Amino acid sequence: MLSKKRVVITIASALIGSPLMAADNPASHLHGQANLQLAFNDNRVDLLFESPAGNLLGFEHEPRTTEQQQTLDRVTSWLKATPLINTSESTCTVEAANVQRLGHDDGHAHAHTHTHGEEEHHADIEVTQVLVCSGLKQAASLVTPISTRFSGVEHLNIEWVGPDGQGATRLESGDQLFKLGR
Amino acid sequence: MKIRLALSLATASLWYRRKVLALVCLTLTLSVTLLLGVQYLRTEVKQSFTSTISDTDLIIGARSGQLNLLLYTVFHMGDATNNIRWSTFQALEKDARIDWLIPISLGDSYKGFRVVATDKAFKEHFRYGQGQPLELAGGQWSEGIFDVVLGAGVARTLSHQLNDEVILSHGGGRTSFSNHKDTPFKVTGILEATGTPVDQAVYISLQGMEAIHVGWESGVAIPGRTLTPERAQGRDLTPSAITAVFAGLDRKILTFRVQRDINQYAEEPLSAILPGVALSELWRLMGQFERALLGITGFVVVTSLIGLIAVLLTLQAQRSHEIAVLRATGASPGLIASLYVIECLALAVVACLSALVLSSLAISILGPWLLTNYGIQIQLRSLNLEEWALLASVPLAALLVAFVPALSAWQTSRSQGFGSPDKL
Repeated sequence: MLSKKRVVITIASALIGSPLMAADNPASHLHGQANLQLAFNDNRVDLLFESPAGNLLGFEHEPRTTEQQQTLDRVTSWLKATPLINTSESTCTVEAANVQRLGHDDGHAHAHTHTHGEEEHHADIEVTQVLVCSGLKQAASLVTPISTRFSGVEHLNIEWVGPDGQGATRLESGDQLFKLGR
Repeated sequence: MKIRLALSLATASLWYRRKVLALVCLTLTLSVTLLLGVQYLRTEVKQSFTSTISDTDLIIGARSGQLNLLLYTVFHMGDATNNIRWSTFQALEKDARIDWLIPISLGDSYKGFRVVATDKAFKEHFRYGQGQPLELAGGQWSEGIFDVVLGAGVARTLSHQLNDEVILSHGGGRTSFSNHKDTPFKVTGILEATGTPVDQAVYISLQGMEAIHVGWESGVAIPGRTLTPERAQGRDLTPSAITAVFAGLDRKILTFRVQRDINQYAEEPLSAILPGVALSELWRLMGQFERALLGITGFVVVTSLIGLIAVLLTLQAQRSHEIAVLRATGASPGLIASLYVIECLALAVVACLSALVLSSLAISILGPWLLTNYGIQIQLRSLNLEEWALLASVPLAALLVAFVPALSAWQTSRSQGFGSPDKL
């Protein structure tokens, strides 16, 4: 017969080892920071931009006023229409774009702690774009309008994958240009 | 005509003082070589660092941070937090987007060097530098369970030859008392030096790793339960877990998508990292080092230029007699001033060219020797724009410096009253 202690350990290890845990880690949500992933192939760029909604909108809850709704609409249409990266000659055009607002159910699962008095809902904005840019192969550096357009984005982490390899950089607020060299 | 006269006079003067000038030129050459050397080292260290692994799109391991995963799989530093199941590896093999997979299993060591258990995919797909494959300096890749291939650094440090017998140690310590004595390995191959952490590791098969741990389930060898090389043959030695997997994709554009899918793999908590991205982040952390080298380059530039100025000014001070003779024979102040400028410029250009030749020779001769003996990879390459600018700053500085004695000579010549200053 199993002892009580062993039963507890067995249940605990079963829970810890539960495969559900693998997929269930909520994404980190760090205000002031945003991530941009770029995958290049010839002249095509697949792009994913993720940011806490607060960085782009100034609020993370559902829009409560007309003004907030207008801000959301304006930012959404800007994100759909503007190539989030471009060559220095501005040769990129948006082929397809999608903007999603993703809510966090669990307000505690963050990379930081909040001490807000009122109930807080966190949300991310996720943008996917497919761009076509002529002369992309020759481009040694690219520009992004994100950190100048949104003052809330203080740090923009950029990662890229292309035929010449992978690389990453980090732009601070106001920086636009980044070099594609490793 | 005046320029031709100035050039022929300058050449004659330079040739007359060739012995002293050769020494001056040597000093300048060494300064410029040092300048180029430090700058070259600065860029090359970064290049060598980012070339540690190439063509691998993803590294997959147990859930952890990307730097930790990169450090223990590529740099052999630190340890894995957890292993991943063999069934996960098999599931990854079925993913149509993934072209190839290299399983690796870590945990043992040989006299302080990491033992990496892997399979044939390692020799076929692992690349470093600019996509260079691993080459054997001698012997062949592991065929049997107890065959081992040594990294160049390991073979050199421990003076191993082909067919030597090695006994691996359990765990990762430099000095270990628990050795896999019952299952010795035979050195079947020694890798060419790569200048990467590959040189500092010992490569065995996954089956070999499994075989030496039969009977070690409690962490120490249980007498009678360990395998002997004879008993290992014919036994199923498929591992139940491995440490990490290197993956290459068919279409690089899918890298982030595959990474996301692996990070959300429901059966087991996994982390997939992009080695190029992780290397960039690691280099950013080590940016202080690059800045220190940049600072050193700056100091070398300033010191070299001050040295150049001092040497050139000293040289000119010794020419008063020659100048007086030239003035007496009717040379104009302008001609005398131009002699100074031509000489300084000629010395600087010759020094720069000599430094280029000297640096290239040094790199091409010392490069292979450094790689074989110290595992440092330095390759000859063309200068970048920044380095050309640095090199051009030397004749430019010489030109500016030359104006000091040239102006003073011009003024002195005018005050001496020979010739006709109005002709200038």
